[in-house]
Amino acid sequence: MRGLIEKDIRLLLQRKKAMALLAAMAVFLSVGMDDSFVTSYLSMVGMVLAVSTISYDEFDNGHPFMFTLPISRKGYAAEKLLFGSGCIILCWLCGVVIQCIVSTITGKGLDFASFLSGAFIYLAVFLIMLSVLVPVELYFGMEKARVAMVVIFGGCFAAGMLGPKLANALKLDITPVVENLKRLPKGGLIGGGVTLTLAIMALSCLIAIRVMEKKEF
Amino acid sequence: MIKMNELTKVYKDFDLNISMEIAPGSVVGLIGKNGAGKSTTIKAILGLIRPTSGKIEVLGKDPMDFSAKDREEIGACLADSGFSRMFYVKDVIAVLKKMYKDFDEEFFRARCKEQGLPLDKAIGDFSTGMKAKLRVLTAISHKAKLLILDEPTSGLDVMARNDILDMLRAYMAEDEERSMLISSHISTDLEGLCDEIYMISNGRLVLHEDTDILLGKYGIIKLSEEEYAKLDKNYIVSAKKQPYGYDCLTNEKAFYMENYPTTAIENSNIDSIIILMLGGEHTDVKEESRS
Repeated sequence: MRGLIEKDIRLLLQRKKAMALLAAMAVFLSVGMDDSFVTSYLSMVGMVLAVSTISYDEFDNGHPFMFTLPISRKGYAAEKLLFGSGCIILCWLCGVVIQCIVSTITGKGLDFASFLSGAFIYLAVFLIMLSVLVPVELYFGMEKARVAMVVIFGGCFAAGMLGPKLANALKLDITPVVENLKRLPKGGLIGGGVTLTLAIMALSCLIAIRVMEKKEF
Repeated sequence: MIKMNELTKVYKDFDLNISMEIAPGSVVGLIGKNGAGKSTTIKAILGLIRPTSGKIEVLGKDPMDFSAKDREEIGACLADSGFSRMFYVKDVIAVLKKMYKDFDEEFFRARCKEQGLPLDKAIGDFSTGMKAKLRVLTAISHKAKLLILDEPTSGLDVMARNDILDMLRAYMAEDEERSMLISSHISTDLEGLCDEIYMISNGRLVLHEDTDILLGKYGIIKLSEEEYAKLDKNYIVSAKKQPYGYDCLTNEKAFYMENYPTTAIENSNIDSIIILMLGGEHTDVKEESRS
């Protein structure tokens, strides 16, 4: 695991200039955008960078050699999720710090409690997205995964757009459900969110391990 | 070290069926034409593919069940796969240090210097020979008990090949319990290195012999049609029709030298054995003997 993490860090460091440019953009954009932008933007960058290491591993037929090194298929799948989560959390933290500094410097003020609760929601969303992307990328490989991701996220978008219309057509009123959720104590909501995110990540890890165990190189 | 019993791997357009055994301390060569199944055999040994049937044990375990620790005992080099082309040798060192408990950094750096592998140049900018040397160095830098090398000298000039073979010889000489399986289609590399040779064709084992016997007892008999008709074919392994008659591969050169003193008999080498056993049209010697 340590070796894999070292490899992934070094792969990302090969793109230092691109990473510096993305960070500079984050600072620049944070001035004009709303409070949650930098956190979500940098979390997404962290997720994309982490997932890109799977493509780098596969590039130039690298997988066969890599699996002759002292790593297990299970360890590889788990490392990708662990490394991805680490990248997202690190970038998310940078986003939070940048937003706090920029808000202080520009003097536009920051409702810290509201900002932080929004930031945590983004963190959970990107961890869940990572949980979807890692098994998909491992299963489909570098090329086909792009198509699969368009289908998955396009499907989610379509479901988001069509869901309310479908509910209306079926005369389903989801307002009471939303209202009940709002009435739940904050601690319960946070606990539920954390549990749901961790459960999805655990499920993703199991699927990714299964995918790797079935793979041949 | 390695035991393969009736191991099969079935693909849509190719199937492998092979048995093989590699004892501790032996250096075994795997030869055959392109597409014969050498790389598939090596991938099965390394646990990169799942056999369709049969049994395989490497260091006492099924390679598909290898843990990370088990893999530390094996040094592998694949013909068309290696570290990311974006990596520098110094990145490779850092990764190997974290991967292998017994990684010998001093040895690795010294060999890099000796072989002209710069630490601060991207692998993507290396020549074919430099990449091959780096792959072999990676395999031999962590005191592995078993080396599995797939075409480590393919596409290299004679000097680079010699450097790699020297590194392998030195590595094997350090510990007599170490074993090595090396595949190659450059037979001269194997003649000077291997104790035994396995020859495969179309996914099947066609010959398994000690290298000394192949080079000492095997020979090529050149015969006219009439001489061939009268020949005792009990020790003829393979015969190939030629414009002047037949070339016959025998595994008892001495027998024919003694009993057919006027016949032209040449010493064989692995190339000539491959050509006679695998190349061109063959005569079914056993069938002819029976009739």
